[in-house]
Amino acid sequence: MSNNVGIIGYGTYIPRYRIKKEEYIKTWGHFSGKIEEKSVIGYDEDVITMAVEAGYNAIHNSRINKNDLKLIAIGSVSSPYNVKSMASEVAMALGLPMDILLLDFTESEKAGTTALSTGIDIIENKGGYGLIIGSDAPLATPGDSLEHVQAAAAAAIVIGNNNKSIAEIVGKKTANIEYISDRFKRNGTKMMKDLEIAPYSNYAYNNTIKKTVNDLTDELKIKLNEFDHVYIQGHDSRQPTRIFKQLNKNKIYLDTLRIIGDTGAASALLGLNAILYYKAKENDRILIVSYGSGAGSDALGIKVNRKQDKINEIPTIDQYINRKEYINYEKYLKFKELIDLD
Amino acid sequence: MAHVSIPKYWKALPQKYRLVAGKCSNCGELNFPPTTLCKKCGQENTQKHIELKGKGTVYTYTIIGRGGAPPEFAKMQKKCGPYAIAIVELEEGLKINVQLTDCDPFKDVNIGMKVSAVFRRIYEQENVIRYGLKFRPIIE
Repeated sequence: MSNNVGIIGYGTYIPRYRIKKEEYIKTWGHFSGKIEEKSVIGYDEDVITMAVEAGYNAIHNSRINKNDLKLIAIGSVSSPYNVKSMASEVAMALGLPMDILLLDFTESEKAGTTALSTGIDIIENKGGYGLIIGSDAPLATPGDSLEHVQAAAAAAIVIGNNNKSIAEIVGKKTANIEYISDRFKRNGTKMMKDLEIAPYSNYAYNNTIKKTVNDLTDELKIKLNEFDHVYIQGHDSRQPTRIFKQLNKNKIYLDTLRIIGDTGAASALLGLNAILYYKAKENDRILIVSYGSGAGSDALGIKVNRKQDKINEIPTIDQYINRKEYINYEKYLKFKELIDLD
Repeated sequence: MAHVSIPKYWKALPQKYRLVAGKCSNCGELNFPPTTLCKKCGQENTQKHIELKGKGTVYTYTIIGRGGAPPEFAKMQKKCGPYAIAIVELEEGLKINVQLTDCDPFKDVNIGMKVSAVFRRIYEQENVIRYGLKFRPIIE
């Protein structure tokens, strides 16, 4: 990689509502996830509205002219449409130029980093800026273990030439190994399915992630422990902490998983936003690893140049995390349209 | 259900999605939505399109309870309870009629409250999601 592309700015969106694991325990008798609470998408929200707010924040934090954007790439497994672009609606809402390249990625819960990785390659050749958004609110059948941790958020990044970047993207690798799906959603159905074959799922997770991370550390000639902050996408905080025994556990960033939950295709970019906001210092090295069932994983190596300046009118990730309204399980069912009125 | 055709809705997308107004280059008046003739000086084709910032304060409001919602909002009212409708005075001086979201209409809303525009699902018609702007309390 010629290291020409970096992160110009980032922006986040997290819905206002939260549900605590105790609400699940009251209803189901147990809670199958190692998280404390999770975000819940509001009734008048979807992945498109969340993407618009995260994208707006990222553009403003980047202090770029939005007419210089050359592409918008969105990753999500929860588009409200099967046929119709998410990116098109978001571009209209943000007032982006009409010759912009629109990319939707929906292949798995790693779609957010697929968008980022593809965007990097295109901007490297084309110049200008790219707006990358992971926005998701995945949904499985209530009562399935998978559903307990499923949450909602969006995270956006503006990429562009490195000479103005707050962080450099120093390397990226992908690994795609077919594991006939342990997690999928059939056409015409609303719910994601997980066959819950734990040993198989764990094998797919570990094998795919280890492959992409090893490829990246080999290319960058760096040891895993030399990264200062690591984010590994997972359903809850157990998966990321189990995988690399040799990695200093304090370096694994888990906060967004523990308090926001599994945000699907937004997960990896949300983790990156949180590390850049809360943790990163000049010259810190960050490893971001995504995972999508099926199975695929992207690993990105990032070197920090500086913190992003705060713009007063743009809420930070910390403000979104602290803005919360707890709801009970009944309201949760209504918001998620799991009780049908017609 | 009050029917707004897709072509009519589409025509107003710049206003519904990001508050595009027409600023008259002759007298400086803001026209929302933009018009052919400026509503203040009457000059023709003098308006430059600008995006309003979407920040303002609640000028007045009312709360819509059970049975009071127009048909396109009845389902939302049933699921989420009463909601507030407000006249918001924008920083640019215009007043617009909006729905408030992300707040409890009884506990959180008051006249003079600072609000900002957010892109949300407004309702569905003909199986198409109609998006647009609502306002919510500013995040501090």
